[in-house]
Amino acid sequence: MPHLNDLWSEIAKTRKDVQFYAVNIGDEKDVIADYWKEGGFAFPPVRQKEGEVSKAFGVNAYPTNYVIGPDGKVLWRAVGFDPKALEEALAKTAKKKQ
Amino acid sequence: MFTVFLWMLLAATPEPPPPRPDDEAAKKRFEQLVERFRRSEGLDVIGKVAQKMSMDGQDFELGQKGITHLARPLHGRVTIGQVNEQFELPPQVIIADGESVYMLDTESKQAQVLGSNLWVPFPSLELCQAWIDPKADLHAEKTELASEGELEKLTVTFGSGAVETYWLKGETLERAQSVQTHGDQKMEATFTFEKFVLTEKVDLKRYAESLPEGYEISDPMAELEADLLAVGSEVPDISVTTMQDESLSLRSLSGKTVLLNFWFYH
Repeated sequence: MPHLNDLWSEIAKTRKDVQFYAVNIGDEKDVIADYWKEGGFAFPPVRQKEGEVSKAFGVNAYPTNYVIGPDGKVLWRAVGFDPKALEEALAKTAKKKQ
Repeated sequence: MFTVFLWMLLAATPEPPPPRPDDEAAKKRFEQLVERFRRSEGLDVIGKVAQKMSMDGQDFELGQKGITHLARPLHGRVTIGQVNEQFELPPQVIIADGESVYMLDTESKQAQVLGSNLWVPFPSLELCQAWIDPKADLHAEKTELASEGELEKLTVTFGSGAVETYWLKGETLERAQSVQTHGDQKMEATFTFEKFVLTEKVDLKRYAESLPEGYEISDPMAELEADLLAVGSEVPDISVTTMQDESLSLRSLSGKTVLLNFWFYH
C-alpha cells in the first residue's frame, strides 16, 4: 500500500479526474482503519459484503488492480503490482497538455 | 553566527582523496569487461558453484553444477544439477524457445512459464546482468585490481552491497566469487568454470530449444488472471461500502478514471 500511496501522491498533483479506491476483502473495519491511520494513506479504503465485489471482478489473487475509464469500462487490469504498467494505464485517459 | 558555524563544519569535512592510478585502472578494466558482456549475444558456461549460507545462526552448504547455453534474445537452455547433503533437489532445467522462458518439471512433464525475460540463473553474478540486459546499470561503487599468479583479480563492490571477485585470464573468467550480506544473513558463492565463452554474433538456430514432446504448459499467472473481466467490459452494477458505512455504487463513478486496488491486510 505504501507504494500505491506514493503513486497516488504523484498523480493527485496533476489529475483531478482520477480516483483511487482500495477495495478490501475480509478484514475488520477497525483493522483497516488502524492500518490506514498508521500508514497515513491519502486515498480511501472501501469494503465489500462477503467478497461479492471481488467475485464480480473475478479477482482470485491479491493484489489485483483494475483501471476503469471515464466511460465506465475496464481499461486495464492485472494481478500483482507493477507501478510502471499502472501509470501507463492511467496515462491513457490523461488530457493532452497544450 | 550561523554562517560561521557552517564554515567551521565545512572546514572540518576532509576532502576525498584523489583517485589513485591503480583505482582508475581497475575501473577501466571493469568497464571493459562489462562492455564485453553487453556486446555478446551468446553465453556458454560450464561450471560448479559451492555456496555457503548463514541464516538465523544456521549454516547451509550447497553444491551445484551448471551448464548454460544461451543466446539473446530468448534462446537456449540452462541445466542446474544440485549436489547437496542437507536437501535433495531435482535438477532444474530452464529452456527458452524464442518467445518464452519455461522451467521444466521432468517428473510431471509440466513446463511452467517464467515469463518473457531472459534471466540467467547460472552463474548468478551481478556482472551477468550486463549480458541479460545490455541497458542495465551495474552501479559499481568500488573496483580493485590485483594480480594473482598469471590471473588478474578484479574485485567489485556493487550498489546493492554485493561484492564480487573475478579471476580473469585474458577475456576468460576462470573463477568468481560473490558475497552478499543482509543483516545477519550471509551468502557466499564460489564459482569455478571449465568453460566461459562469450560470443558476439551467434547463429540462433544453434541455440534454439523447443519444448520437448509430451510437455504441458502451465502458466500460474494466467490462471490467476483467468476470471478477470475482459478489457472493454462494463463495470459490474455493484456497490462498495465506505468507511462511513455508506454505499457507493461503482457505476456512479463514471466520468472519472478509477483505480480499484483489491487488497487485504490479514
